[in-house]
Amino acid sequence: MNKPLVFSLWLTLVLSAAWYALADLKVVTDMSAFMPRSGDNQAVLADVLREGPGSRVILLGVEGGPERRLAQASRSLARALSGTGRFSRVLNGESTLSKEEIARWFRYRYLLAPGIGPQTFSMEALDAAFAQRLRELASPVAMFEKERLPADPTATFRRVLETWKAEAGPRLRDGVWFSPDRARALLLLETKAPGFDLDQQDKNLGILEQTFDSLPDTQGLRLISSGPPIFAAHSRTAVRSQAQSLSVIATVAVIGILFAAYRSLPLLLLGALPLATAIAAAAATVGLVFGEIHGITLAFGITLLGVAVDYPIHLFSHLRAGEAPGLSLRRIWPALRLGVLTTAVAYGAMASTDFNGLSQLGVFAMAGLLAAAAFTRWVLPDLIPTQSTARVDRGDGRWIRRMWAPSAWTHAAGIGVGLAALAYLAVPFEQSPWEEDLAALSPVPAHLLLTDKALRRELAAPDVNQVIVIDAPDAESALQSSERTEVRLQALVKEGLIRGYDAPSRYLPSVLTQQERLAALPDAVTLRSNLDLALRGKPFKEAAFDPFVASVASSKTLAPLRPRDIEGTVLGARAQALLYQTARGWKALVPLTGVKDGAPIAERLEPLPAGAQYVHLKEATGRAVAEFRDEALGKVAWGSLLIAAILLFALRSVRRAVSVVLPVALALGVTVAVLLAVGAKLSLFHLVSLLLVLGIGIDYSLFFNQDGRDRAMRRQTLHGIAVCAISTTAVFGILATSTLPVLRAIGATAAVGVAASFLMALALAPIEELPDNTRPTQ
Amino acid sequence: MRPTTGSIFTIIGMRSRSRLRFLGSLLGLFSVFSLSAFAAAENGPWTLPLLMEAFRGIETAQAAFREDKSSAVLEVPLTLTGELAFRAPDYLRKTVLEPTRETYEINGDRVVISAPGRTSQTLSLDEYPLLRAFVASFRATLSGDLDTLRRYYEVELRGERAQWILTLVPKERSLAAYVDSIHIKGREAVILSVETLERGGDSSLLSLKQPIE
Repeated sequence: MNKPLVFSLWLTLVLSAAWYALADLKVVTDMSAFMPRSGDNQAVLADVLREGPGSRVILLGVEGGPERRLAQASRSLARALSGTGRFSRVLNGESTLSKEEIARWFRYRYLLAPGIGPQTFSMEALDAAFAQRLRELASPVAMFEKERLPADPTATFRRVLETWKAEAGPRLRDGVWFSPDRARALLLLETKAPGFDLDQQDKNLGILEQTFDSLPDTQGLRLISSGPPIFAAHSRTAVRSQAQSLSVIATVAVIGILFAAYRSLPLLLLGALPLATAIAAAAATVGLVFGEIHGITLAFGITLLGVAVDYPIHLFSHLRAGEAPGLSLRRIWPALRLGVLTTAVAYGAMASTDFNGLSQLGVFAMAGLLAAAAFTRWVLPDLIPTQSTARVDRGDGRWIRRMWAPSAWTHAAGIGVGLAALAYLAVPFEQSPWEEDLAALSPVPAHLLLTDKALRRELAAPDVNQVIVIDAPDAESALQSSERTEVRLQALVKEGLIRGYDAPSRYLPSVLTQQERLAALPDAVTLRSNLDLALRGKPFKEAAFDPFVASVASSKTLAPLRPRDIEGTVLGARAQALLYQTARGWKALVPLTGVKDGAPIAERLEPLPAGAQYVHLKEATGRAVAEFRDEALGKVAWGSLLIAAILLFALRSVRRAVSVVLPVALALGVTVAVLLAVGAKLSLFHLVSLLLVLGIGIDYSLFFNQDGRDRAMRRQTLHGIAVCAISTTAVFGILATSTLPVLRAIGATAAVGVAASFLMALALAPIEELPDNTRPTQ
Repeated sequence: MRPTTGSIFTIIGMRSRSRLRFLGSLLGLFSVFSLSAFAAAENGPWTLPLLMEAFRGIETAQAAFREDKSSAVLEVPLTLTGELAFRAPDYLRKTVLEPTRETYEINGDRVVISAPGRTSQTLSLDEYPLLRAFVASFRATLSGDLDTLRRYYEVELRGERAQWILTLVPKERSLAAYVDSIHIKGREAVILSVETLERGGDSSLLSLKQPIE
């Protein structure tokens, strides 16, 4: 091949891929990409997780001072935060409705109040209302309610306000919310940005802290915060910082190992090129295929591409003094090629799943792998300076000689350990070995979760775990379905199965309902006559309730309120949190609160109105994860069969295929057994790592089973594999020290797996006498 | 020039024996003056601190009341009658007997409203700051708590011991939106009437028959 041409071709490709990746590629951080694409239930789940009411709520506590100071701080903070415009709701117990809004909704009270019907204005109803108002006039609180009496003697507006009032909130002290022990003033915020938009939530956090620090009323006080947006921002920071520090340490370790192995700076630098090529190619491919790349894909993908560091190592270990590197490469290329192919199949298994994030990961890893292999095959040998070939430790060291000694004994030991591990796995477990609780995978530290629990309890904030999701073509039908759902839920509340619920139709009734109420308003004549009859014998002035008659008359001319009419108001914000437009129509959410454990909600709600679906978030996510896991396992099984078939075909001998596959299979068994024995519960991340172990293990096995070897070559092979194994185990071992469960899972699995693969391959390597060809081939 | 320092005896040039006698009469004069000063204090200006101190001495009190509430919507004022009870420092009970039986019991921050045949309602003054301010006008006066009174109202006292009028004007705008002023009339440490003038013209006059002490 024309060397300069190949080199410049490679350079062009890599640079353009890198330029595309850095300049054009959009990195998204929306967690829902790791939810499955297909299936109605899962799509609903993803929507709820992403847009759900609970996901935007931030709980705040202000502490560290006397009650009055905390109350004042709460008021100032609430005002300041409302002014930032980044929160659709800022609640601290104070009345949130402005005077203008109160006046406006007062005008619309007959459309907004529940229970408005023809009987509301009957003589009997009015009579009872006036009697009640008289009693209230006698009470000390009368003067605060009197203002609306002439226009609203049936206290309709009061009913509207009661309907809107949040259920059982925290105690009020000094007019604002406080924890029961009065040590903390409490606030509740709802961000305008969705919970999983990490960039926006980061910004929100910053603004929150800035605002708190800048207010004079909060000086010397402490702010504690919690909630999904806080968790999301915190996890991102934690993951990022850990990933950065760990990768620095890992890189230093690898550089150290490689330098110790080869003692050559040029080789060290060249060894980085396949990985760089792999990353650039992988990112560009994902960008071209998917249009964007997910942050998690990048992170995990680069982990999976760790195998690409092995390729140059194999080449370097097989260099011989005076021999052109290209020849060295061709000696090992058959084994290398087969290894690449089988690993690509393993990664390809992931690419074919229905899960957006995972198929991205599969494509990423596969593309990177092939690029690294191609680079190692066609470009790298020509880049190696000839003087480097002489300085390589060619496996003459005594430790290498001693290490390679497969014998019947090592075979027996290896198989014995493997069988023991499989036996351990075969015994049925008391508990499922699978991680069912997603919370265990959360990167959020335990103390933050405790704070959240405490704040949530003090604020009586709903734990939004059960929701009824309504899909509708437009807002009106969504609201109508919401109203019908409310009726069903009221029955459940009465029975004590749930404590309460929230629904968009509670704040904004459907147009249909509003029109029904309008129609129920009597005409002036009927109303006047009912009024006069009801007023008989009561000490009210004759003309006292003229405003009432006028008000009802003018209400009849009102047009029903629609979502856009209430936009920008506090009421609108409340409704918007539960009713919004999506690409496919409108969605309404009806969260349930205080669901009794084990209550048969699903059955009691049947049949739900059209388009409504009952979603039990915890169950649903658990099921989605289990489904995904089953699918992943299935794909892995198929992939393994395919790999076995490829090996059979390429090696042309069952015995040799078994010789290659056996160590890897046993190593995987040992790895899983070790993980379970130390008490880890298996999760998706363990599965992904096992895939990596599969790829690497087969590489090792293949190299130990190569053709046309002499002793020198065998020693070089051993050297190469040993360096691979040590560096890979080191990198993943470092990863396993992370405090984040996900990184720990990947690190532990891969470290144990790679070490086990190496030892198994070594122990089970074919026992042969080889010629001691010290004459180097030309 | 007459010396201005030194013992008074030296100034008026007295000799020791008559000094003693002079001292004695001085002492006598002094006591007389003191007594009349004391008497004058009793009949002297009637100040807010004095009123509050007088009320602070009260442990319990009862009275029958008549309340006339006039309102723009009513033809004739609404008249309630019943009994009031107070126990220092913060217990107040208003039992309405006519026209409908109802009891309002205020204990610290808790208010319990009960009526025969109806379930009682409990609310916390924390959640109704306006109500708390309003209750304070009466309760703080009865317990002599000037600080609390001044927290919610501008306080002015006019008149004398035998006939005084305490005027309270709300400080906070939120209460001032409902209440223009409250006038408490009394004699010594006894409240005779409480008149509440509301924004908009409504008013309520609470007259205590057996005076509360």
